[in-house]
Amino acid sequence: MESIRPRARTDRLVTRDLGDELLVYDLERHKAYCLNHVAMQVFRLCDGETTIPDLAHRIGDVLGVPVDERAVRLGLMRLEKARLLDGPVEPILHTSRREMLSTLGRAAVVALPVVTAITVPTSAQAASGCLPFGSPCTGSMQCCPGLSCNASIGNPGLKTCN
Amino acid sequence: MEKLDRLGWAAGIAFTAYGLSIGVRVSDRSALARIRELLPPGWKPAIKPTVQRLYSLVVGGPTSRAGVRRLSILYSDAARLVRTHDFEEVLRLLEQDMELYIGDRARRRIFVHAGVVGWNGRAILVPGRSGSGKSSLVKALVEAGASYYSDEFAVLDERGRVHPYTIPLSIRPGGDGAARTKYRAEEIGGVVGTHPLPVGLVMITRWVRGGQFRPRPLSAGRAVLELLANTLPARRRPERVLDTLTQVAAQAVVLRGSRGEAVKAAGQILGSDLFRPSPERNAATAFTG
Repeated sequence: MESIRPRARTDRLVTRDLGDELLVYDLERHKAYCLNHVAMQVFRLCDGETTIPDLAHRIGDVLGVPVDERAVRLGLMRLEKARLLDGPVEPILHTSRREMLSTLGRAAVVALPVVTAITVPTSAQAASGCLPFGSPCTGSMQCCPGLSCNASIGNPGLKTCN
Repeated sequence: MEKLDRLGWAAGIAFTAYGLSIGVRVSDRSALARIRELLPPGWKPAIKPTVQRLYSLVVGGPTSRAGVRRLSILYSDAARLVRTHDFEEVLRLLEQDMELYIGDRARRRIFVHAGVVGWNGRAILVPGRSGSGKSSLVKALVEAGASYYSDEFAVLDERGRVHPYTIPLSIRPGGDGAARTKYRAEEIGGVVGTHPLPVGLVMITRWVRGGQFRPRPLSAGRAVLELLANTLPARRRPERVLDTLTQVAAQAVVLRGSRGEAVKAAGQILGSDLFRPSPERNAATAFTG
């Protein structure tokens, strides 16, 4: 794990810094992401030279609270899933999210990385009113053609068009 | 397009709106009056004879042969949009397509699919999909005293202010699936807003039978995502859109939650602490007491 030096993707992305959050627009896939303060630091500090333990230290310094390496790995998993990292991350990162959350424990909740995603609608979708992939929904009738309203994989309490 | 040009066109209109020039030509001069009713708010006659988008409408109807009716056909530039005996359907599609074209390509404005009212010098945006109860809430807000800005689009400038887009309110009195009825704001006792307003509140809400209205604040980033999901030119001009939406999120409180009846929710919104000039305004407790 010491050898893993993740690098954040920079090409074909538009970013906007909101202070505590970072907005990222992927011009290739027309997806938009909101990174919370922890995920934002993970994304920013992934320079291709820093190891995961060093990332945890540096993020802890920026946030002013200790940050667990497992939280950094969770952030990397989420950034990789959003395709915001350059190249694939080593398989060692791919531990179960649930397992990781349970081992991180309650105390770590304040320093967990969160990446919220939507598929940006086409102008016709935005004007006509159907919900694109990833949007919260209450019924399949709201979703665009080809999508249905199901429990979200990452958050079973939330239904999204998928 | 040349084939279309060779058809006999009886009349036409060329206009500009939101920095775009659009033309509509018709095979029957009498159709022009109906088309003028569909033009976007603030349209002006075009000065130049060339347009960026040209609609061509072949008007159908009875022919000299008994029992035979011509189809109405609508083209957008060279692409055929619809071919039907139902002329009202053609007009509806023409209106929709013009709105979509303008909303997607307007030069200096960002169009977000949302209802808008003005209250105490600030705008309340209600982004939402068809069937979310957006129009019912806008109507209830107007009936409760808010000024009417739009039932369909929040038209934002580069400073994040919202401009009036005062098309008639379109409500389904019988709920989902029922036919829409159009109301002018004045018909329901409302006042139409005329000046751009800064956005004070973005209310992301959906009608739920018997729902309690206890919306919760969203972070600025999540708020931008919610608005982005309703923004017409989001794919075409993402940088400009993000700049505008972040301005809105920075100046407005953004709340999300389901609601019950529109009238009750409207009263709660307009009576909330958010619109009182108090230093103790608190978005988190504005609707919970």
